[in-house]
Amino acid sequence: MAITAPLMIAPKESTKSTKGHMPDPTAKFKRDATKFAAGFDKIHKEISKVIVGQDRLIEDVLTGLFSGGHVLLEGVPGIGKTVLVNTLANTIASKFSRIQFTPDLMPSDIIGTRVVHEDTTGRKHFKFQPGPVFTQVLLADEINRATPKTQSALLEAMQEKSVTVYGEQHILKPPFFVMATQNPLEMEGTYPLPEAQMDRFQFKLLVSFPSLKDLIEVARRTTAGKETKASAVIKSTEVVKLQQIVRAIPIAEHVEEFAAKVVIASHPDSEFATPMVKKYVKYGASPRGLQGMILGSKVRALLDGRFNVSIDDLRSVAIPSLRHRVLLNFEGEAEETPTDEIVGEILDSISTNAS
Amino acid sequence: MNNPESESQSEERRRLTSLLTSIRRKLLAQDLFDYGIKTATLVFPISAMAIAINQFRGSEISSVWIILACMGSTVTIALYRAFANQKAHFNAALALDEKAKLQDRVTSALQFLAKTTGHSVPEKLQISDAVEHAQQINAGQLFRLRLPAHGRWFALGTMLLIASLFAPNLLIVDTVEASIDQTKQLQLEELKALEEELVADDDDPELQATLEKLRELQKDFEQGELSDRDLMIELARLDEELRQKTEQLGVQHLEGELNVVVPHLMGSASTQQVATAIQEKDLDKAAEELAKLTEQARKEGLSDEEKKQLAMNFGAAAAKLGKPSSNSFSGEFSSAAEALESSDTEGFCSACKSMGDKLKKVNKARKMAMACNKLGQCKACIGQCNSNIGGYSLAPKSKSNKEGGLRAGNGSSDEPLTDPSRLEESYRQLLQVAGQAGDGPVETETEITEGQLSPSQLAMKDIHAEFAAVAEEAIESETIPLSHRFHVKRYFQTIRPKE
Repeated sequence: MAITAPLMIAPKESTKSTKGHMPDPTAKFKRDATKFAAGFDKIHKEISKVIVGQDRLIEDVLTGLFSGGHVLLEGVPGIGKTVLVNTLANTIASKFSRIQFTPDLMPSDIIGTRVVHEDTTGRKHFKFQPGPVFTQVLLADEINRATPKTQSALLEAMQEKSVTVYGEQHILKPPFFVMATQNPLEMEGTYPLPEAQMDRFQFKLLVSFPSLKDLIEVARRTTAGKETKASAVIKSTEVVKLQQIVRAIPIAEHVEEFAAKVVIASHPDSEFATPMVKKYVKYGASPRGLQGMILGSKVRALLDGRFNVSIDDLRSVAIPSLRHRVLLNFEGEAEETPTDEIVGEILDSISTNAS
Repeated sequence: MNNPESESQSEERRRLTSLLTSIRRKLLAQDLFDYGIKTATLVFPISAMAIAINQFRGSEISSVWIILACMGSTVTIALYRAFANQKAHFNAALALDEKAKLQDRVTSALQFLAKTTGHSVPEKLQISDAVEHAQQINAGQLFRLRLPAHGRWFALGTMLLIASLFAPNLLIVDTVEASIDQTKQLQLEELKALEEELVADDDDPELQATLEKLRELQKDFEQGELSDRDLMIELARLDEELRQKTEQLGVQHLEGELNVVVPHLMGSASTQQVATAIQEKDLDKAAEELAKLTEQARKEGLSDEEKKQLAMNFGAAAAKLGKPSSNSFSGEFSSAAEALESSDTEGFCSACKSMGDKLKKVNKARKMAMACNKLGQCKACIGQCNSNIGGYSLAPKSKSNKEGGLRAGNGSSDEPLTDPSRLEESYRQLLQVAGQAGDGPVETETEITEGQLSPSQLAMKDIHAEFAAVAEEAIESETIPLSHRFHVKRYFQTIRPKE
């Protein structure tokens, strides 16, 4: 999907130059916002060269990237999850690492360890050997195959964007973006992600099976002699700048209140809890869910050419932000109640006339 | 020193506030309209019911007052609810965002403007962006008055309200129906009265047959198989048949001769009782007195003086009556006079017997004529009852304690048309008028014309339209109360002859 930012209406005073060589901050911010939309669009188009269809998925992944979060992809094997992450890493010209999670994978295999190092004088000393987590785009493939202990090795990296080994803290190079995949079918020999680990992911995206038309196109692209590859269209440093633009977007009180009410309503004992929440939910979403929603909606606002977050923006990112944060009780698990439906009911129940 | 940034911001604030104020007014107008329609949707049918009941019952409360009350309550409720629900600027901004699909631009800008601290660059951009977008909106078009979803029910309620104004006064209909029932009752009473009167004279076979026929008519009329119009036609036929039978008796001339013979019968002591009975119109008694005289003549015989006196009086009477014929007492008086002169007792008795038979015949004819008159009178009364329906209430006929006679037009009554003693009694007494013969010779002639068979000489359908048109013209041109106009129109509609 080609995303084109609508022409924003510039404020009148923004066209006037201020005294001296001082740039007009409003005009600069407007240019940055336009750059953001253009950058987003460029990456999207580049990824679409490799990934057939899945426009909404690509948009959500990029939303996660630019809002500084991490994304968990869930889908059956062979539908392009790993290819998507690879392609994204290529397009933003960043360092990319892939960890194939297995049951015997250890935390040190992820974050690194100290090894004995001999210098030119023959002296031996310990030297930190960084693990694959020291990267900018990390693919945690089949993350639920590793043990919870190993899965938790990513906790600090994902939240603090740093790794502490033997008391020494190592800052990860921005943008640090983790994309994990998991297969919902093969339950044997897998370890469901702990709630704390799950909460670190801003979005949980469901990768759907491609349509007939897309499937035929996939076959054409992958079975012919020429292989399509994505090229870098934006630098990783620019990605970091664009992430800062996202955070600068203001949000009005009534929109914030709406988002907070949605999160509170996901708790069964809250005053806004819906009947489904009361019946099927054990624990609701955490404040990280609210953060994820608001940041994601800021990206949507920028893409729509606005400088404010709307309630519709919140609605569009609420389900991927909250679906993995709503923990079902026994009844909900037994009836296999989709958390998407629960979040949808919450969104319908909260009045927009919040203030 | 002016701060250009602050000026720009205050200008944006002013523009946004002005826009939201105008939207608040439009929302208030829409609310007023919505609540007005909603309230009217409830109030109008209730008012329609009230007006309809008012109209049905013919209440004196004017429907206009009900409509005014309905309108007043609708406007009051709508005003109260609209002002109670008056929107703040924030709600106006929400409505604008929603209607114009501005994605919370205006509401966000309003909240950013409300901050007392300095605005960040993105906030300033957002405010400018929101103001520019809001200025491009045609608020008049966006917030124009729209008929709410329940507008169709409002239309239905309005139609009900209008229709209720045309609800008829059921009391008038009830009165007319009651009048019709009462009229039939009166007509049946007339028929029963006629039957009772005829029962008294039912020894005559012709009258007996008439009575039987009358009872059948009464039964059919009571069961509704016969209309009042058909009843009147049947009564006219019965009347005509009876008159024909009366004519066939051929006693018209004899009736006139009785006045001639009475003075001569008074001249003799033997026939004085006969004359008195004739004068008293008791012809049966007169025939009996004649029978007694013949019995006396047969058994005891008459003295010469009596014979002489009788022969002289009978002879004079015969002379006055003229030539003897079957339709005259002349032959009997002449034969009796001759028999007395020749002392022929059997001849005298035979003549007297013949005279008595003729008297009985005359008496029978009188009864039949009386029955005819009663039939005619009954027919007239039934017609009179019929003519009073639709407009004039008919009071049940009561026995008058006043004397009968020619009192038509005499006296006064608050309800002249319902005065039971007025025409009915007059008809009866008119037919009972009898003249008193003088001493001299009198010639009487009874003429029965076609007109006596029916009270009308013209077919009703020929004249009804003409009379109705005249009445119509009169009620239009004259100053006549509206309610009376209705009754006149209704009357002519009721008596309109069937095609």
